[in-house]
Formats: sequence, structure tokens, C-alpha cells
Amino acid sequence: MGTGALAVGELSAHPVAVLAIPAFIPVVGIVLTILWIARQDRRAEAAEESDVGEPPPAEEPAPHPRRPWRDRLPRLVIGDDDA
Amino acid sequence: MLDLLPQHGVGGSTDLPVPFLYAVVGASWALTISFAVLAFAWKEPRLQPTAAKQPGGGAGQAEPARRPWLAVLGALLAAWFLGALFLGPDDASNPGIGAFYVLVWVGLVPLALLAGHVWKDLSPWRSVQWLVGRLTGRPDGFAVYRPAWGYWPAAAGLFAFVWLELASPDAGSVDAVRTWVAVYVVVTVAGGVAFGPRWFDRADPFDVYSAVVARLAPLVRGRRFEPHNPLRSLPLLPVAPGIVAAVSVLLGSTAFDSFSASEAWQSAAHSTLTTSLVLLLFCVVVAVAFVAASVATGGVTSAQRRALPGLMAHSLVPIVVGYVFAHYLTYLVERGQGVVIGLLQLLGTGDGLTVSYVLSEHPDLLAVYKVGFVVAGHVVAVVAAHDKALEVLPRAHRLTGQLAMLVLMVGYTFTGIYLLLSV
Repeated sequence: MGTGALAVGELSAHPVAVLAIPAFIPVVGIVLTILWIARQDRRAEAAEESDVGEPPPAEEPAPHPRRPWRDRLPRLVIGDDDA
Repeated sequence: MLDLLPQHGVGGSTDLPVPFLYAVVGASWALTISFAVLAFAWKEPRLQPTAAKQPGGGAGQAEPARRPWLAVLGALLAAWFLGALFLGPDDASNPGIGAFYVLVWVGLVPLALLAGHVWKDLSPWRSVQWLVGRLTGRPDGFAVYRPAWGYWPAAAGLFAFVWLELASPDAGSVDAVRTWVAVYVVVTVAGGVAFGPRWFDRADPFDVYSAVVARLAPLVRGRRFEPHNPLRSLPLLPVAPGIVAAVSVLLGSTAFDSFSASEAWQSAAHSTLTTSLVLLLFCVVVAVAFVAASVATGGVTSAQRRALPGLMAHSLVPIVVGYVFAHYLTYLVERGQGVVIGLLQLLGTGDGLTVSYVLSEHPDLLAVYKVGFVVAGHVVAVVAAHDKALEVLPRAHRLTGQLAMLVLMVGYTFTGIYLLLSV
């Protein structure tokens, strides 16, 4: 478009919206990441709790880590887990 | 009339040494990154008070009594300011108006940061209550201040002040200021005589404002000279009903002050009622958003959830202080000089003194200060909120329970800098 009036149907974003998108990108990323890790943690904990007291069948192969990638991620439950 | 509106044209977005976009986005990113670092590097509460870290350094050690020489100084200053206001000229040249808006209201914040809650010593109304209490044999008043009232009277008093400053028909009117001050003095003294010193701790808006900000004083704790980490004294802010409302009035009114100078607001005429309602709306939105973000966690009982906003309220204090400096620094430094000169001239001195516009002459530096104060206030607030969350939230919700607060803090930062610099 030239420098004249806006064409019919053309939308002009409010400057606050334009500024808000880059400003909030990292916080959205942080929130989603933490929520995702929390969800994985709680699923894993639930699975571990359900496995307690149930010996694996003899014919089963040695258990593999359920989610090897979890060991490389920071645990959401921060602090001394053994406390 | 005194130019009571903040000097938004000075130190605005066009004076920033970086594009406005970079400042707003960078500030938001700084806050987010700070939280991310805290989340994975700060895993146990470190700032919460213990018995050995109570005011005065000893467990249970009480604050010192009011210091008589400061009470005398406070009485002299009050007589000077009130004399100027009520006996001075009836027009805008009355320096009592500037003393009220600039020296008392804005100057209270740096005073509390530097000297702690020295307002308690200076307050002439506490002195009057003490005197009446001695004469009547009722030093603690005639009635019990109910705990349920909490800080609500102070919140109402703070709102009454910001209404006068920002929403009344003529904030610079000598008659308006005289009326406000007269009502304030009568209510404060009557409340103090009726309920004792507790009234000032919970209901006097200026006393409460000073006490809240003084929690961030690095050199004074418990009204004693005791250099310390102010983040350790900040969580000692007494939690009582209405504390969130009181702090939200301070924060919401500052946001409204910026907003009311914007072209969008100035382009139309607004009635006093409309302005008052919008001011109230700003304060309510700040409070409701903070309460909602505080309680947005799992793993707590209903009673624990209701207590969370009060427990987290201290984290708003650094934001308030940051905004006050960002918003009113020019006002305090430059207008304050003019007020002091006017007050001195009433005493027959100060004729050769002139105002130094040290900040207005360097708008780029001022713009950087504004952004810096806002960002610093929020970063300190995030640290304070994170440490408190580690203490009060269940272990499994220590991080997820802070996410809403993180988003809110970034929202406050974004909105604050946008409003501060875009007008």
C-alpha cells in the first residue's frame, strides 16, 4: 500500500498488541515448559506408585527406563526430594 | 495552580537511547529470564525470617520507643507545613500545597527507604495521641481496634489521597487541599485517641505507607540502625486484612496517573464521577489480578488458599517503590526544590536559591532511570515472591504455583513501562 488511507478491509493492529507478542513469547515458553515437565513428572510418579509391590513377571525382559529423556531434564519437584 | 501532573514529556519514549520496542520487550524478557534462573537455582527458601533475624537482632526484641527529639522535629515540621498551607496565600503560590503533594507524599518513600519507619517518630498525630493518653490515663485508647478491620481504613485513606490528587475536580485548589488535610487530621487524631497507637499502625494512610516501604530499608530494621539484606526484612510485613488493597491502591493509582496523561484519555472531557470510577477500576484490577495469581496453585486447602494473597502481598512493595521512583523522580527532585525554596521564603530566607533542573536537562538519562526502576522493582518482587512460594506452597506445586504470578508480573512490567513511556 502507499502512504494514503488504509484500503477497505485492511486491519491495523493496535501498537500494544504488536508490542505484547514479542514481550510475552518467553514467558509463554517458560510456562508451557514447566507445565509439560510437571505433567511428565506426575505421570511418572503415578506409574512408579502403581508399580510398588508388584514384582515383574519372570518372563518379562529387564525393565527399560520408561522415559530416558527425563533424566536429562530438571525435575520440577525442586528441593531435597529425600527430605 | 501548581503543575501537579507528572512531567511525562520529560524522559519519555523518544528520549530512550534504545528503541521503545526494545525497552518494553527487553524489560519483559529480563523478568522472565530472572524467574527461569530462580526456578532452577534457588530451590529452598533463604529469605524467610527466623528468630535470630527478628528486628533488633534478637529473638522477640521489641522496637524502641518513639524518640522524643524526632517527635519534636516532626511537630515543628508539621507546624511549618500546616502554617504555610492554612496561613499562606489562597492561590497556587501557596507552598503548602507542594509540601503536601511532593515532600510529604512522594518524599515519604525515599525517607522510609533511607531511615526506615521514622515516620512513627515524626508523626505529630502520634504525639497528640500520646499526650491525650497521658492526660486521660488511657495510653492505649478507649476501645479495641478489631483485628478484622486490618488495613482497610488505611486503604480507604490512601484511596482518598489519590482521589484528591488524580480525580478531584481541582487537585491544585488550596481550598481542596486544606479541606482534605483538615478532615485527615481530625479523623487521624480522633481515631488515635479512641483506639490508641494501633490506629496509626493500621489506619493512618501515611503511617502505613511509610511502614510498608520501610521494610525495604537496607540500613534500618525495627527502627534501629542495622545494615541488612532488605529482602530479609520485606517478608516481615505484617499480614492483616486489607494489606493487598492498600498496596494495590498505591500501584493502581500510579498506573492511572500515567494513563490519565495519555492522549487517549486527554482527548475527551471526563466528569469527576467517571474519573473516580476509572481510578477505582485501576486499583481493583491490580488487586483482583494479584489475588487471582496468588491463589492459582494446587495442593492447598481452602483456608491456605485464602491466606496466600496476604502472605504474598509483600512482593508488591518493591514494585510500588520502583514505580514511585520511575514516575515521580523528576517531580521530587525538581519540584521539591521549588517547594523547599517557597517554604524557606515564608521564613524570610531562601531568596537567592534557584531550582536546578538536573534531570529535565538530561531526558535520555531520565528515561533510562525510569525503565531501570521499573525493572529492578519487578525483579526484586519476583525474588521475594519466589522465596515466599518456596516456603508456603506444597513441594509438588512450588513452581507450577508461581506461574500465574510470573505472567502477572510480566504483565505489570509491560503495562507499567508502556504507560510510563508512551505518553
